[in-house]
Amino acid sequence: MSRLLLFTALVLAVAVCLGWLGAAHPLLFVLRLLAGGVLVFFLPGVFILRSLRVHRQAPARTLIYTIALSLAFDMLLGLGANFCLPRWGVAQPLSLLPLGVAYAGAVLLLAGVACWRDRQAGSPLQLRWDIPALPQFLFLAALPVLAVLGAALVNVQGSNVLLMLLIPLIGLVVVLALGRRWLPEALYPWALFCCAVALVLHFTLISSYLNGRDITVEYLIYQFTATASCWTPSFPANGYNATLSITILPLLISRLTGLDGLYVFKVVIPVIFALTPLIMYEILKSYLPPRVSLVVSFVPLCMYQFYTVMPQTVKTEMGWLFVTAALLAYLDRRQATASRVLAVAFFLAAVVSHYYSSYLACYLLLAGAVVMFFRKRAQAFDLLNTALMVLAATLVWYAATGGGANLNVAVWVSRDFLQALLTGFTTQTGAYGINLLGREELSPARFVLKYLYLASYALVALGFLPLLWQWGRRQASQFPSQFIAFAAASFGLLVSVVVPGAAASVDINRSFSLSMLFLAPFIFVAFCYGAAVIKTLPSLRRGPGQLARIFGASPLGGTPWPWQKLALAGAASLAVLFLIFGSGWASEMEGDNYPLSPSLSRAQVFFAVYDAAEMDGARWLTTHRLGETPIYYDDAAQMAVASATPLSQLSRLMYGAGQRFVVLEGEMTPLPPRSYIYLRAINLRAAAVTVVEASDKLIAPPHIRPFSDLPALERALQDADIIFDNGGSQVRLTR
Amino acid sequence: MNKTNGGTLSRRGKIVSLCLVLIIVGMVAAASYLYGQPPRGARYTDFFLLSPSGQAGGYATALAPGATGRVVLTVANFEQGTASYRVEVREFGRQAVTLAEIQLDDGAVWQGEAGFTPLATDSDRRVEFLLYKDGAPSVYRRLQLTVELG
Repeated sequence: MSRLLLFTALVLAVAVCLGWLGAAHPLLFVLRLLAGGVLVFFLPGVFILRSLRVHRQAPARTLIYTIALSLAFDMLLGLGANFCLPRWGVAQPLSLLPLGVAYAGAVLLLAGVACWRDRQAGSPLQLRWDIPALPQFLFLAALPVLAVLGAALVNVQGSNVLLMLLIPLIGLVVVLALGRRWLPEALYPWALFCCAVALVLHFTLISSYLNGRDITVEYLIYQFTATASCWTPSFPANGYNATLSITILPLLISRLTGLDGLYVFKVVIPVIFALTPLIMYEILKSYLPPRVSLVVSFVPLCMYQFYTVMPQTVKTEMGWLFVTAALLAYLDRRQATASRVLAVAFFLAAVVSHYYSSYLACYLLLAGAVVMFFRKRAQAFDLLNTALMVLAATLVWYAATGGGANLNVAVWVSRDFLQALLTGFTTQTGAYGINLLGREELSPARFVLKYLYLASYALVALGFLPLLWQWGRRQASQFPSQFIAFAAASFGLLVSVVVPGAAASVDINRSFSLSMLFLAPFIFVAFCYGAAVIKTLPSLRRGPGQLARIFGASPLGGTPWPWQKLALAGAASLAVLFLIFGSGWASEMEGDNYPLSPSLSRAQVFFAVYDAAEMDGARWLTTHRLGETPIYYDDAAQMAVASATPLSQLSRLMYGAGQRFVVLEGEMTPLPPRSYIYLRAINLRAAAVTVVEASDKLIAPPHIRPFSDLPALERALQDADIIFDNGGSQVRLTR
Repeated sequence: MNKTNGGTLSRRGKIVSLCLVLIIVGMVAAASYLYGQPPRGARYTDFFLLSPSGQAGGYATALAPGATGRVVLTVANFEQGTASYRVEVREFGRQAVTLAEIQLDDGAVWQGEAGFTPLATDSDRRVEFLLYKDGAPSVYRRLQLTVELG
């Protein structure tokens, strides 16, 4: 323990001194980054785990708890400093010096508590330096490096060749994971983490700016807090400002590591988010063989939501991390009290990180309690208590912050849901989930992807429903009751897309990501049932009783290993197909007009990925705009203007100072005279814009339309004055 | 596969590991080099028009014949190096007139006022502002205003 205390003191001294003196030299910067990183991401977690006397956990589980606890502590410390230090005359409590001193004091206090509570235990840092299967370890480590290099090549040279290589290499890892020889079990967590990091970074590192809509607004909110060095929960009064994951947390990381906030958003938080497949693996391997857990964990990792949707919103990434970590701790029965404390801490961290994550956590716990009520009432009440605690914390937190905007949103969503329910499937939003099935897809790759999702839903149902039936009949199962209760709640979330209004109200992309934590194993179970059916095919002629026996038996217990291996190959194939089609690799090979990934197909009108010239044009426009002159742009340019919108306007303009081109019934809404049109060079080169085809973007996703298809726009552009041009963007003024 | 029975790395395993280490080091070096380079779209020149009040609007686009309108032209160099520019104004289809020949360092900005006077005999209503870079004969950037005769 004394060595750990010495190490802590050294890290604190380096981080605080270099932060205070300023680390201008690159080597000093790296040193500060390392010391600050250890301080912010590891030390508090290590001391809290010691204080709780949590020892001898699997290395991956220890790492997850350490990082998640450290981040939860960071938010709590930042929040405390934000409100306490001003009472002692510190006007900017989140500036480096007061924050550094407060942080150092708190960490030393934690160290003292850990020493006192856990003085009997040995060294907490049980690092293993013997790396099993070094070549495989290095091959996996090369994947994130390849992602970083590939993204740099796209940014500088415009070549996607390395990223096109990366995707099949990750697919290869999934395939090789099927065999016992290539990947030893000790490397399973490493394989998941490296593939996850590679996939998220191959997306987030594209462009020098942030990619995505929500994340752009989140970064503007962050800048509010960073500029003031103080978080004001009521201003700007929008829902985003109520979340500590985009305000206090990234600011604290930035202050103590010296890393620019932009890179905290682009790199640090996505890498932390890459722990979630590892968490899934750790949950599953308690109930399933390790190799099955690994392959099953690859399924959601390979879905495009994981590496394209989630990295576009930092608060969701952090919310997901805490919710999954909480579920990991909740399902951990080895040290019941400590696990319960960890679960509560992570649930509370999820509440302050992201409103939607906390709503989903409430739903999972409540629905899980209802399911559990029919089987184990004591555990049902336990779930109910936790759910009520999370719900109360959510209501209190969001009533007190962000001007109550998030509670208002919850009320609006409930009202929309009720209206949709009353009007049935007659409204567009009400029938969104059903419309998705029949919607015409924009490209063949998207069409294939849609049916891959539908196939996976069907497999989940096929695998889960017989198991739920068996569980209801109190038959033995390899999954514990709580897992099945959460799986049932997740299944409810999955099928909610067909409930009128629900799919339009909740973000099904994100909901589906969390539900897959508990449902992905049932894809494998469904393949097991399939393998069992194939195995008994010759005897099926004897009657349907054979089928009933297959679906009535435990799928893993009743299916011999060679057939389970076949089922595992099925799950791995599904994961690889998701990767090939969801990453945009297939679209790029096909030369698609509507590819899915800006990483592989950046030179497309469709993507909201910007360069310096485009951003400069947007900044010029918002800086020199005459009064309230309207600004128009295409759908993909929206966030360029949003990110250039002055911070003072953010409280009323979440998505920038202008509006997108809208096409109603095939014709574009005419642009008023004396309006600005902001165009990216890519619009001019392709002579096309991305337009919203209806007032409800959920129903009709943005389409690329050539100028010649939009006579009103073409005329307006021809007649307009050209008042700004820098080669990357142009501003015109209509007449 | 790459291990002997004793658990130590085989010769083939050591060679593969060494190659992988070299590949990783090479990729890190290449990535460091690329991140030191300006990304695409980072070299550009801003060329824009402001009204005399400094705003992107309120331009003198409704003039009586013989009256003179004025705008403020700006050239800002973000080409990551020194560049020379020539600014020309072509009024209402007439011969283009050179307004300025300038040399700007990276990050430097030039501003100049340009006037234009429509005549009742002009059939073309456009005023064009042309920017040439580094002596190239083709127009690098082009702005335009359309003037209505009042």
